[in-house]
Amino acid sequence: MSDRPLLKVSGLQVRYGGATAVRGVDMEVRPGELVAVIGNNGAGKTSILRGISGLVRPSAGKVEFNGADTTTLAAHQKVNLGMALIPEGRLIFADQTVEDNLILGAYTRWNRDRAGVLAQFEEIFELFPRLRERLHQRAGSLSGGEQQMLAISRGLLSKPALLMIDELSLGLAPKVVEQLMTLLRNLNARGQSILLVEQLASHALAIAQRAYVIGQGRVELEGTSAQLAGSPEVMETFLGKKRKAV
Amino acid sequence: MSKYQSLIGFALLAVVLAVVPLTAANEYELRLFMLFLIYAVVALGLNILVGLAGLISLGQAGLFALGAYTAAILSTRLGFELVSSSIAAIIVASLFGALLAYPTVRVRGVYLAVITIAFGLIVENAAIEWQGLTGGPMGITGIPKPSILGIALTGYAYYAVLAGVLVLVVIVTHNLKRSKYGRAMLAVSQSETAARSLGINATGIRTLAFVISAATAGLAGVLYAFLNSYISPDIFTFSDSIRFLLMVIFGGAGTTTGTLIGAYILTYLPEYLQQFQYWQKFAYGLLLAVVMFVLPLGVFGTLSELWRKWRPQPRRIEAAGLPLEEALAIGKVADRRPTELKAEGLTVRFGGLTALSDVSLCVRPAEIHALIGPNGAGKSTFVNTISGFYRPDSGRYALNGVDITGQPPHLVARSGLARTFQNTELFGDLTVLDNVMVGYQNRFSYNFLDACIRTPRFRREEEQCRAAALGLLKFVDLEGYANERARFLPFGLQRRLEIARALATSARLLLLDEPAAGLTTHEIEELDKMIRRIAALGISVLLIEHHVELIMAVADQVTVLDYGVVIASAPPDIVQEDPKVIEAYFGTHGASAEAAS
Repeated sequence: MSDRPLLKVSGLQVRYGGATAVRGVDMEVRPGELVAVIGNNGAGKTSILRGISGLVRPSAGKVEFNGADTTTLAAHQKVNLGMALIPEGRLIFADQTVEDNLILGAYTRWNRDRAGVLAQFEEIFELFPRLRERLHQRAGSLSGGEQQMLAISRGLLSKPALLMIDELSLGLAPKVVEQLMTLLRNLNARGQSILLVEQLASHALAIAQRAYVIGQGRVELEGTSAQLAGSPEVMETFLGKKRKAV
Repeated sequence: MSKYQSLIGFALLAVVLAVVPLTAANEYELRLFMLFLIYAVVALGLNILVGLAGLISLGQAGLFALGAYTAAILSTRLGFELVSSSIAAIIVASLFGALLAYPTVRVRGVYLAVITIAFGLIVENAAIEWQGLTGGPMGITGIPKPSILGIALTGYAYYAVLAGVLVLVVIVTHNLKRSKYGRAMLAVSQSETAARSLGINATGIRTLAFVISAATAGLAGVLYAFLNSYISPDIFTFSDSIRFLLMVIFGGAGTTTGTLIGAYILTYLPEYLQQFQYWQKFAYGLLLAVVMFVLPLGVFGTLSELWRKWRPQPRRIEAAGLPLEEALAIGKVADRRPTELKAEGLTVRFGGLTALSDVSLCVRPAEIHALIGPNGAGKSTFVNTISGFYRPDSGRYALNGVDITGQPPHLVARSGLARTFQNTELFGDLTVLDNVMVGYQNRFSYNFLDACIRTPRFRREEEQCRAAALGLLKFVDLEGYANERARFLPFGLQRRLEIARALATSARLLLLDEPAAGLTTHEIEELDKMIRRIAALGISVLLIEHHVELIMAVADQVTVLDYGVVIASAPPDIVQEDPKVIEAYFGTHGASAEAAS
């Protein structure tokens, strides 16, 4: 693991009109790292990802990627640099087929690396057999959980240097969540850098090397997963009083 | 807009209406202002349709023409006066308005716009071709001077009538906007699905919006015919329809002040631009394009949005809400008994795919019943079917023994079944408080007339509803966001708002579709308490959820679906040990973790 960060966020501030959602956040992801972001609803996690990925322009602060300042770049330019975001809430292309959605996920690779894309399709179908069954169905006709599977697959297909995921487990059955966590752990073991926003804190901390706890638009705690999992504050708020051994 | 700002607006309007006739230099200037008053009446009515109900009409000149021709024909042939021909014209235009609303059952957006264009063209052509009735291209001349009960309205008297009508229309449309009718229109335009699931008859509300916009256009047509004493088809063309729509959009759709500003500018602008001679049309188009680019929400719409950003209103509303029990009991509540849902043999197919196959499920009174299963097992299909959005191919379902199979969502909702949505379906541009007030819609007993003139009954019920809605917001711990627009809420809080909104409908059975998705453990503990509290009040709960700990903690009974078939239905501790369920749903890790807890 090299020491130069892949993503370096400093003093990030995001405002919507009069409201300030993110108030000066410093954060980094080093190459090959899986970093988790946890926090209550309204803490600003989604806004941080939006600020990093260019979906909203930060009102202050800096977003550096691979050493280059990308603060003011548009979202599609950042995707081309290798920063991909799987947004919260299954923003799939509802009127196109499942297959078309997947192909669009590989939009930046389709012409240069078609064989690679098709090979990855197979990996995805192994993980989500449901998507193979429904390949030619309209994506909007999938169930909620299946749409989430599609959204995740679409993000994986862009083969980004940094994969950012907002609420991975949303609406997925426990068995699928477990499979996905294993997938992320394996991807990460193969060198994929990941920034993961996740409400199931115990799952996220189990696979991440480091984590940030966000509250009221600021970083409240940061440290290795083991440190945070042992912290009484984190246990109380995110892991539940009746925490069980995972 | 606050009461204070509305009052200033009314005072300003009154001053302008009083001063203009005194300062008008000549008859031409006064006449132009009177034209503005008439166009403003059309625009204000159209604003209800466009700004509130979110529908586009490009046939408003047709309705305007229907009013004008009705008045012209009745006054020249049968000697009708101003009042009697106005009543007749409003009836005629309203009938056609209702007729125009009918296609909205099937089409929206640009398709609806095309239908309204066609309507306008039909009226224009009928006026040209039906010579016996309309005088053909030459039109109808010799319309008598306006009079009421034989008293001729000469000089400023007719101006006073026009000003009076405008003030009346301003007051009525403004009041409607702030009543349950206005809220229902906004709700239907922002999420029809959610509106229907709260008991709102979407087709009925859209028809109402069309009829209001038609009635005002018809009335304006009468006023125009008497002002001009001559009408012909070339006054009511497609480009006039466009101009009416532009007045609304240019000023700021949805705002009364903006609509008045739009009507004023677009009445006067062509006159002022006449000095540019053959550049006139070009300058007109360019000006419109530039203004709409710079001020995308219209002149007034954009300015008030900027004002809101500059001086943000406090998110919290400083007022006490009713306690939960009272908030749930206000107004008309059909049935307060704990309710049982019984579904028997439900089968739902989509094309070749069988989403539900012979599913039976019973939620007993005041029970918390969980429905779980792998993704794509048919859980949401089940919820969408019993809440009226899908029709089952076979099977039936009943609430307390009353069969509601196949009823549309708004009737299901009125029978006491309320729901939340997996992907949240809030009315994003309404405030958090207004979202809950839409839920209370069917508990009000005030009628349309009460809303138009804000009777004491209207005020009393609105006040009570507001307090009750604040009470429900307190219950879901959102009272600090009451004044915030719903779309600015974080995802997890949006889910809680949906619960409050569903409770507002006098629900006896609450369907919660993945309420814990995206919540932290601490927030799920809060949700746990909330669900128990709801059940303790005698409201049955059907809970669809993936969060195993929550299900095991709160559910009395768990039904498991896999590939559209019920594979288990038992208390949670038994379901948890069922090998079929572990295989299909929990996975090995989940099961062992649960077993260890």
